[in-house]
Amino acid sequence: MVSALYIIAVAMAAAFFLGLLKDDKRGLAFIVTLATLAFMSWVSAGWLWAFVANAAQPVEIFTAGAQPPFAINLRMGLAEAALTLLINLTGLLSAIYLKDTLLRLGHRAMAVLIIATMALCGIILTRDIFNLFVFFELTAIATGGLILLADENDNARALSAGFKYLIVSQVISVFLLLGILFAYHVTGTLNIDGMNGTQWALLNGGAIAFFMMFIAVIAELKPFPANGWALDIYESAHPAFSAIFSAASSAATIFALDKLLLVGGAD
Amino acid sequence: MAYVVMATGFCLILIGLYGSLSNRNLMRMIVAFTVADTGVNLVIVAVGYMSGRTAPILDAAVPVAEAAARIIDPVPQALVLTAIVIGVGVTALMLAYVYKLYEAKRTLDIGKFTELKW
Repeated sequence: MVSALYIIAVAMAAAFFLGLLKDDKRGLAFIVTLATLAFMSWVSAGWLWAFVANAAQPVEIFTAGAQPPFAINLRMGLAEAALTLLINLTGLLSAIYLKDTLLRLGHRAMAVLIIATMALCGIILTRDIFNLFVFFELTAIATGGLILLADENDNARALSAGFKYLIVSQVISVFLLLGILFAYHVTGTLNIDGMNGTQWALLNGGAIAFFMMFIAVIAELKPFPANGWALDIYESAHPAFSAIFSAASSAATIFALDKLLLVGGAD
Repeated sequence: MAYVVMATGFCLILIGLYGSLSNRNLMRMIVAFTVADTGVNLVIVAVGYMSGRTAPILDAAVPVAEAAARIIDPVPQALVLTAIVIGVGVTALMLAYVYKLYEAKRTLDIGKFTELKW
């Protein structure tokens, strides 16, 4: 099986490559975009098949040649495989549906779509809490770009929806960053599984740190009644992007919340 | 010293959040968020600071063997660099949005953007 790290690596490479392409090569850029998203879906599908049909065990992927907590680690298990497949397929199908819009807007829009899909996969795969923050911010920046894929008539509405989204994402990032920092301060690790092993109840200030991270991710999850800004995006953005924003983005966030609850302890 | 920096950081975060809520001008909102971001960065650096220790640079003055006892925690400093880079990215995107919003309506007053329900 292909390592799940290639989902992130290939997407990054493709996005950089798209950035180097000349603007008149839009057809080639679109083919590269589809091929990248198809490859990402294929990697996820391969893992899902291995877990379902061959009863494979979850795999830890280490980076930078060091063990956590000294380096970021990713995990590919059954839930991760299913969710990354959902996200990558949503990205691929949206790209096909967005064909005319992407060809009109050019290679930069395609790179942003790939980065958005990759960042959502990253949220699912990572086991490092600061890396989770980085992927959340990448998602926020990519979402800010993709909202503007709206039709010409909806552009003014999409602009105000996107600005509202960026305001919310700034507030979320302030709380998430503070929460992560104080969680690191009390546990001495950035690894989610490492934090899980710590007795949070005995740590001074740990509960506040957890609370800050928790409300940040809850706000990102956009549940009622904190979903006003998301309704604007559903209303004004391109339908294909609304699909990514509602299905893929929410799936990634709810999985991040599940990971975060691990930090709070088994009970 | 670290507590002064941390208190300043939290004050800046509160000033930034208050500024972003109370201003109706889009540019001022962005400036307010930048102030809040700076506050967060100060808090991060203050969390990693340890009194009486030196910078986390291993050279002749700080040999590797003594590093653990003599340097401050380098992780928050690495994190703050990432946070600054991400902050710049988001601020740039918000400024691009404001430019486009101004082009569309010729105003920076957020109260004038009333197309959407919420």
